Amino acid sequence: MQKALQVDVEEAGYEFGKLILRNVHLTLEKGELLLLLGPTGSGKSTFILMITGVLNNLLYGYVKGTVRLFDINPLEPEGFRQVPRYIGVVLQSHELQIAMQTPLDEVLFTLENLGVENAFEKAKRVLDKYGLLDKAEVDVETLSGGEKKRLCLASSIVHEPELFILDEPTANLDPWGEREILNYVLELRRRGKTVIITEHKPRYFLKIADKIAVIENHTLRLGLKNSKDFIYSATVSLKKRREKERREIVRLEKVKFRYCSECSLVLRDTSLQVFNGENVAIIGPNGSGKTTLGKIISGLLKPIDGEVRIAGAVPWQLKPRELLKKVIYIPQEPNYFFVRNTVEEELKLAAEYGSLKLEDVVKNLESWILDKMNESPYRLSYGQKKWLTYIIARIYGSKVVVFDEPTAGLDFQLVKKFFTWLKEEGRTGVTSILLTHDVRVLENAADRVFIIENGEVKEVSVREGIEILRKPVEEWFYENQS
Amino acid sequence: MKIKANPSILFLYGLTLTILAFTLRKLNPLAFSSLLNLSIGLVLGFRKYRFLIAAFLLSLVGVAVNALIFAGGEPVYHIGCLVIRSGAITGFIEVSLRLALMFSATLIFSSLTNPRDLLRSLESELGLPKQVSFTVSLSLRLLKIFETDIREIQAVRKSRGLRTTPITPSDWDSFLSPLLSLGLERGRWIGIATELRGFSLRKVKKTCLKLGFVDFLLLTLMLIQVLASLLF
Amino acid sequence: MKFNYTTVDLAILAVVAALFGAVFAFAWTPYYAIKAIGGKPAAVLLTYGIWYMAAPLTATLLKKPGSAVLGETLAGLVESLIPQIGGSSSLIYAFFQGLFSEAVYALGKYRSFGSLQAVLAGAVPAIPSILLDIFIWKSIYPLEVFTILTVLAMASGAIYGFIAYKIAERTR
Repeated sequence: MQKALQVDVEEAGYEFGKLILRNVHLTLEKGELLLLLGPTGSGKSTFILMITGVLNNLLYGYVKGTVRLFDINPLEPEGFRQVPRYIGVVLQSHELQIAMQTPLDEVLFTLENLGVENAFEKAKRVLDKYGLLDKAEVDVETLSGGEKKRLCLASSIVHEPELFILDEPTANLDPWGEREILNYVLELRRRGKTVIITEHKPRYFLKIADKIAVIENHTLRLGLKNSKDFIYSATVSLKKRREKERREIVRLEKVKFRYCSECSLVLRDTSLQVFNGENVAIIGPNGSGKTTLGKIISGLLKPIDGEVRIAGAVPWQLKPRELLKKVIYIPQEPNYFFVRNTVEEELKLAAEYGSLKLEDVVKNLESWILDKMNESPYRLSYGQKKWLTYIIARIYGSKVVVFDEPTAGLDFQLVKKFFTWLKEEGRTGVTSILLTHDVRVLENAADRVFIIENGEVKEVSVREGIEILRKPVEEWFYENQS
Repeated sequence: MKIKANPSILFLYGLTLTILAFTLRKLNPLAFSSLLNLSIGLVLGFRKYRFLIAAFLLSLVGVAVNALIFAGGEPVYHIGCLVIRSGAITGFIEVSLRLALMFSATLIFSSLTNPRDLLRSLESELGLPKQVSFTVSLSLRLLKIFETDIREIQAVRKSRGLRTTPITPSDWDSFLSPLLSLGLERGRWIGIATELRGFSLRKVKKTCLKLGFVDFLLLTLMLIQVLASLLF
Repeated sequence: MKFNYTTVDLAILAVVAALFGAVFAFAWTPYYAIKAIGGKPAAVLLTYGIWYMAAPLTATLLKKPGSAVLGETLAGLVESLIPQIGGSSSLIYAFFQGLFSEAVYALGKYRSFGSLQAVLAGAVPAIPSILLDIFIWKSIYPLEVFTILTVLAMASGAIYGFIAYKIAERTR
């Protein structure tokens, strides 16, 4: 029987002399699901680019060896041109994938490229299946995050390929979105499709994979020594609230917010109270208003009604220096955070405001940062960028730090490190507000949990919060036992 | 009543008007083209582009001020201590007519079509290469994402105590770097994803250029104005 | 020297065009703000170069023949498709500005895409840019004013051409 994928590669990379992968041997039968694991930067994406022929045909890289995809050779130009007929791709973010302006155009794009008959009807059918038919001709940017992801799923499947490649598909998704991906993958399996999933958050996929491979030390290894290598779910350590020295540090009362006069209310009647030194998680699905709430607490947005007090002051009435002393907002996307050309200059700027001397700051920094002092922050890896934003925030010395999805995109090692770091910060009296949909934050760091639902904020126990976040996927597994 | 016009023709018309705004030498054909198209543009775009029309009128005030300061000629009027020279009046009229001609091109085009339809029309009717239409279409898509990026960056700059509007070159440097960094990552992957979706195989079926009454009207107007610019 | 543009190159062209499309629309604010405080010469010096930046930036990123003129023209096209007062004039300005920038790289036989080329490619578009301005504004401004503006615009272009080089190298 024809195999879906046969890889026998000695060496591959983007530039001669700098190999990324070596000794990669893999066979995938039709209908199998391969889960590819490995830390960020290990070469998972390079593997994908290699087997699809992109590495050597499009990116001027090189591959020494053979790859067979069904009955074509993607390493050869002729074979490479035919690859689109065989594969459907879903990348980690819609921003990296959606090229057209409307959902209809996006779904039609692949069909038109491949010269498929009845393209229009097929496009409409798949949009309908993914609940996007009534938004077929609207601007893609007006869609919600979940709708954009569904659009990516729709356009990956519309031309009915045989092999599906999902590159970190759950990367920016909340538990409800992860459920959709699981449904999508299940559907593919039912149809006998071959699937390759790369992940560094493989919690759920481990249960449904036929083959598991790990990319480590530039090579691919089948099977897992120890599944605990990649799953991080330490035991829940529910903390008791510290009863001594409770001082209110954040107060919101009946806050209302909307982005424009014609827009709907994002937050209505929101009230909460946070005490110093606490690690407070604010949870809710993507689009529920977590970021908006975080920005209001940080003084970056002004509510249309209601009261906000940070350490007794009204944030938007303060001058930047004073505001920074009280609160700082760390965006989910670390690239937004940098304002200087080198790591050193970033630290210097923060040290000026925090009235610290740079030498004192540098003494306590880890070696990898010291190595990169003269580099541009934009050249760091994603995890390093995120970690740098945390360090900069610490140097500013704000009493309240608002983290927007702090664990998104981080490998489990960094996630572990982050939780340790949070505990230390809490001990020095820093209050951390964590906007998140990652259950691990609740399992390992949160003292208290609030949930945003329909624009209102409600406190729940940490245990309840964990249940809320685990429920969508656990239910899914229960419903799909086979 | 919805006016249907071919987007490619509209685009060509708008481009012709803009070129004429630069090349017309004599006042009569300039006034003719400018006032004719401005009237058409205002009728078509008055409701939708009120804000833009107001901005345009404001820019004319700027022209008037510059004309008063810089233009030469014999003094014609005195208002208090303000001297209005003949050159200021003719200069103001001429420059305003040119700017109005360019502005009317926008009004006419934007009121009757949009970039998406234009690209489809150019690709299938005029045989615009797929590389060009893809690139332009993608940039229109990315434009909105960049606008969001700019807002986020401004928020962070504000919270870190920096200017939210870049003034000096070094401000621009720190402002553009994150935008470019994010943009390049997106570009690289979108390029890869597009290739994997069969872009090199794309062959758009060419359809015949369908022209309606309005298109012929526009083409005639275009011809008249070009001839007028050459003859008068 | 490769001339063929891959899909990734096209996507990067689109990124630069969109980036400047968004930036140009936004750059009028500092232009008017500086003009109000420091007068037109300061405004020209501090902002005009931004409109010439797309060419050296694209050329430094792609390092292929045609990238300067394509990058600048596409940015101008995107700007002209957004409803604004100038209409298609952005496209016309951008095309000629791009041509002059491209000439800088062509004269060097496309052997180098370094900081010197970027500075020149940023400065040189001032010439067609102000020339086109003359067609519109000549009945108001005397020739001396245009000459001064050209010099200021070239200086601005040179500064921002250098910045274009820096940010391209920093983020590749």
